[in-house]
Amino acid sequence: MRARAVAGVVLGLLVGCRGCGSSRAPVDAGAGAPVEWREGRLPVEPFTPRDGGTLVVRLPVEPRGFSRIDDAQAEGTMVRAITGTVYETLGRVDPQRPEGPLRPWLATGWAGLETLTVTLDPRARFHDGTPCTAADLAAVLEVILDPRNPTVAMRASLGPIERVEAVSPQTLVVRWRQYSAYYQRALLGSVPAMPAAALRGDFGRLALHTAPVGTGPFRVERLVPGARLELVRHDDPRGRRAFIDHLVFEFVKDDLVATQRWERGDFDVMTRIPPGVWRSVDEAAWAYAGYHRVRFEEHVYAVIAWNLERPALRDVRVRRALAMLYPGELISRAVELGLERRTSCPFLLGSASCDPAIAPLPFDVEGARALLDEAGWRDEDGDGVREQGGQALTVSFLYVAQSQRQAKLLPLYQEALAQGGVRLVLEPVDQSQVVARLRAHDFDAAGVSWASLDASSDQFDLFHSSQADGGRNFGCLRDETVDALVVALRGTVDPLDRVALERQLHRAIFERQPVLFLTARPVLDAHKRRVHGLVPSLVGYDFSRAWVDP
Amino acid sequence: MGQLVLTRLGWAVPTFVVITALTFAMAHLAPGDPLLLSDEAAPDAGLVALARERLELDRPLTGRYLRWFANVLRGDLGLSAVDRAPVAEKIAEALSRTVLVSGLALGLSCLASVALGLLLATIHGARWARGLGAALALASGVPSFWVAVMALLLLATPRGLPLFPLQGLDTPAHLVLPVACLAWPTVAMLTRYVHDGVARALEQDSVRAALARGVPARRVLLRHALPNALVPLVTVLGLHVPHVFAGSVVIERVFGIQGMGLLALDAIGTRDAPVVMGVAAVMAAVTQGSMLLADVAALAVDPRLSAGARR
Amino acid sequence: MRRLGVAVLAGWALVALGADLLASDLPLAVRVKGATFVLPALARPAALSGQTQGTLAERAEWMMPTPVPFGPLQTVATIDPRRQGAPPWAPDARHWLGTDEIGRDVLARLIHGARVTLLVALGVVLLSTLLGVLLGALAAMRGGVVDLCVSRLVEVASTFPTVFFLMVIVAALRAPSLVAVVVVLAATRWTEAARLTRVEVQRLDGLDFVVAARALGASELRVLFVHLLPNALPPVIVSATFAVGSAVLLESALSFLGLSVAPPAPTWGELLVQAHRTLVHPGAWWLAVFPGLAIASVVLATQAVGRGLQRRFDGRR
Repeated sequence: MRARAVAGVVLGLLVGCRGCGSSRAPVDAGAGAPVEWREGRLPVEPFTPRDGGTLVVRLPVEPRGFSRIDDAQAEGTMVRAITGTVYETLGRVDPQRPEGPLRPWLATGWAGLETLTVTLDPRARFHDGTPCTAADLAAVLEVILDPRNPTVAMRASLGPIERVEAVSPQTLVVRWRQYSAYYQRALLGSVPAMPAAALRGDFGRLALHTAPVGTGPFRVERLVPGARLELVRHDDPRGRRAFIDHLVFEFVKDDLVATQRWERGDFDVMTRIPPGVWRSVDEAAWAYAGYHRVRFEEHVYAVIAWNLERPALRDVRVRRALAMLYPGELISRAVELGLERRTSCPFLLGSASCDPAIAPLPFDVEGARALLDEAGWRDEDGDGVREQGGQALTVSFLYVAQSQRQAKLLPLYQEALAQGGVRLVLEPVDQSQVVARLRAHDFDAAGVSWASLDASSDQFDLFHSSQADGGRNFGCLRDETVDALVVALRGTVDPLDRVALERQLHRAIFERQPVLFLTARPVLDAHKRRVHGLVPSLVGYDFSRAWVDP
Repeated sequence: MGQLVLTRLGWAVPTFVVITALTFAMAHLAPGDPLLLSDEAAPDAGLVALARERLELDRPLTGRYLRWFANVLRGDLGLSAVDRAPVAEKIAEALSRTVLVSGLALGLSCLASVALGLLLATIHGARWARGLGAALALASGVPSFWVAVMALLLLATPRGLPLFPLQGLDTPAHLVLPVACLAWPTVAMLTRYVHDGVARALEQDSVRAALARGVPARRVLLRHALPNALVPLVTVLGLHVPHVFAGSVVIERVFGIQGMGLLALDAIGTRDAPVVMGVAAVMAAVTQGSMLLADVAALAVDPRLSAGARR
Repeated sequence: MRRLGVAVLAGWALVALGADLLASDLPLAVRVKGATFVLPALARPAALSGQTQGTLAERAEWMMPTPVPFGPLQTVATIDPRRQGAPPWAPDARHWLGTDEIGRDVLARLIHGARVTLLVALGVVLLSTLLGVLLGALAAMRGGVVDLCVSRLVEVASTFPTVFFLMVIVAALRAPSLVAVVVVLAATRWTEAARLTRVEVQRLDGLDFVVAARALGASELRVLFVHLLPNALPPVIVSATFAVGSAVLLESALSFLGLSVAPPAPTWGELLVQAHRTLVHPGAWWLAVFPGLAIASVVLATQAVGRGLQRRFDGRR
């Protein structure tokens, strides 16, 4: 052992010089950095836009295509980047009030419930100069609704549409078999306007996928596969609609590269900074001198789904105990680095839809032990794991092997569960296998994250009992109260009634604990100080409002 | 020679079939469906049913393999199950990167190993020859991906001297570290072959006679000893060619190069069977081709080897 | 050189065998509340469940700690609960080689990782050598079509980029386990042993003592196992020694790709993954340096031993 210690010291000396190097590198500087910088809040600036210039944005994904309606191309980050820049939708989420009603965008207005009549802006033009009419939107809807096309995700969100009709060039009428606030919101807020002519032919081989044509304030100039998408400002009869002239999305998947290129100053807007990097530049002079940091929450949250078909997990007391053994504070400190907020609610964290009286179950080993005892799980053979009827309380945890987050989080949870007498077995598999096994209910517990581009999202396919087969109710929650609430929410129009129902649903879910809510995912970005007017929101950045200093 | 080529080709077809059929079976029997959506949303039943139909997932395996094989014969590798891009294009793109990096690495290591091997042979017995030999042995034992991580740490991050870019393959500067890390173990391996070959040749009577006759040592080395040493080198190189095309998935991972290794790894992870099969087909073809090439090259370098003598 | 190699390998083998005595969450011996526990790390008595050396240090009457007083799975929760700042922590007096991203002691993980790595390497080499020797001998003894097929198989399997195959096979498994990794690796590593055995057996088969044995009526199996194989083995053993090193390399490469034993089992490659991830920020060099040195030491030691054996066998011939 002595020899090993010596070896350790020698090795320490060998690498010691580089250790010294590391102390010289970052640190010192931002002691005077204000709270806004540390917290990632953008300073409030006067609106003094300036025309011209180029904005370079890092994108953490490489798109499979840009047609947005295609399932394979509906990746959230990409959608956020493309919708609003290249494409417009009929309405858009109000950045100030994301859970409020949509604001008109490509449309000038709409009315109706089962039968929705939308009026389009007559001045709207596609990038190729042709006018954007109701017929184009009808064509887009037709493609989405065609059961032969891989547009299922969007088709499902639109619900059972009975009829789509372009009554006049500016009037679109959509008729549903049954009204739902979510369907209407999805139709208005997520269907991009694309030219009907470009949608003709075999959907899988449309040029549109790689050469998008929309009505947005930016037009695609060049796509360099594997590298970047270059957009150029596009004006139409509605006037000049953006301040900057060029917008470049650089596809940099790798966080390491992105971080280094950010440090080198390659990006005006650095997106998705890894939490560790965010924390390590807290005090870095270069970062503070050159960038504003931006931290906000998207409507994306992580949960642990319990499989309620498993005998051990069927008992709500066991699920509560497992939740009480989740060392939230420790994980927040060691894994999330204090950057993520715990949630207990399927709705947008902090919105009126969540019942403010409900807080996540606190970490409480004694409480969990008592609950498990009460539920009949006791450690009788003294091996540290509880059992009942000869069955040990072992829970296998299914997760995506590549997930860095789970790799850090799960050993901590595992250790805490062991204290409560529960054995957690980790089962990292490929993502495709996770999806397949979730669908087949072939898991005990699984790490899942849910995302919505909108503040208000339909909980039907997550919690309704009919969605256990084929939907995303992977854990097979079958509960009449929850079923009734999610159905009622679909048909309720009045905002106050909706909030009341949403809070009831929040409480019902919390009491039943079909899933353990973890945290809402924060977006950690940084903008060069020359960038102005770029305000983060649920639907991504509105690049048309941004301007840059020369 | 003609016979040799024919025998090789005769074996190539069944080998190709065995390799691809095995891969096909494993790729399709692996649990999990092709990943159809990103992690932002889970696919629903309708989508899955459609995709299963499009990918013919519910038809018998043999028929699908035969259809795949027939398509390959027509030069059609199909479309990716995940993003529906032509497999051939994806492979071509990845292959260009991999071949650039590994090809450069192999070329570099050939030159370096011939030089080092000759050097080692000439300075045989000198004290620093042992040092060089030990350094080479050390090089072959140190994992190249660790060297790669360390190289990044020392030469691409602010911990050390950030001389080189961290990841990717955009500029010539990007090539330096991956090529060096890939060449590293190959140099060590090839030098041993060259050195052994030259040393053995130097012990041959003809060479000794030449030296005794007063032929300059350098001439003896280059004209007599080196060709002898090249025969095993060429064979080894031939067997190494498939790896040039396969790339090193670990090195590609470390340096973020979207080459064949990462393409295969990603395709396997997303159960993108057409891409996996495309990679397998390319590998199998390259393997067969390079074995043939190695035989022919060995014959060219040393005509005494006949097909019969090699059997 | 060879002796040093043997020493290093023996050292690692001892580390792997005695991992629980070198680094554990429980002490070597402890007396707590009037009860004495010896080597609780092995027995895992119920009375000590939930305890660590950190908590026992305060409660025990006396305690004999392990040289590295941490278990390989102990995270920030129990290892240093009061320490400020988020891990990874650089090497210091408490954690000689630093900690990883969730506060696990790197030295403890290296020690227990040696167990996984060496077990996989040994298993792979034994299994693949066995397979290779049997196939090689079969080919040499039977000749004809069998020989041709085995030879072709060897040729293809040694040329085809096996990492690709490895990836496909591992994906086909439900979840990678130790045994599965060993079998999969062995399935792609048997060719060298087969090739060598075949050549040697063919060479020996014509020699006088074998002919004599046959003439005396020895059965084919007896000829193979008593006369041929023992004499054909030396080169196989040499190559197997080298193979230990390459199996270690391959295993660490696989775990670097996340294709080896499931977490949270400690492996050397897994530490390198974290090193790669934290390369720029916060620049946790200790995660890269030490596992790399561990891997390199094993590989180099096996090579030194292999070369020594080679020289000895060559000399004897």
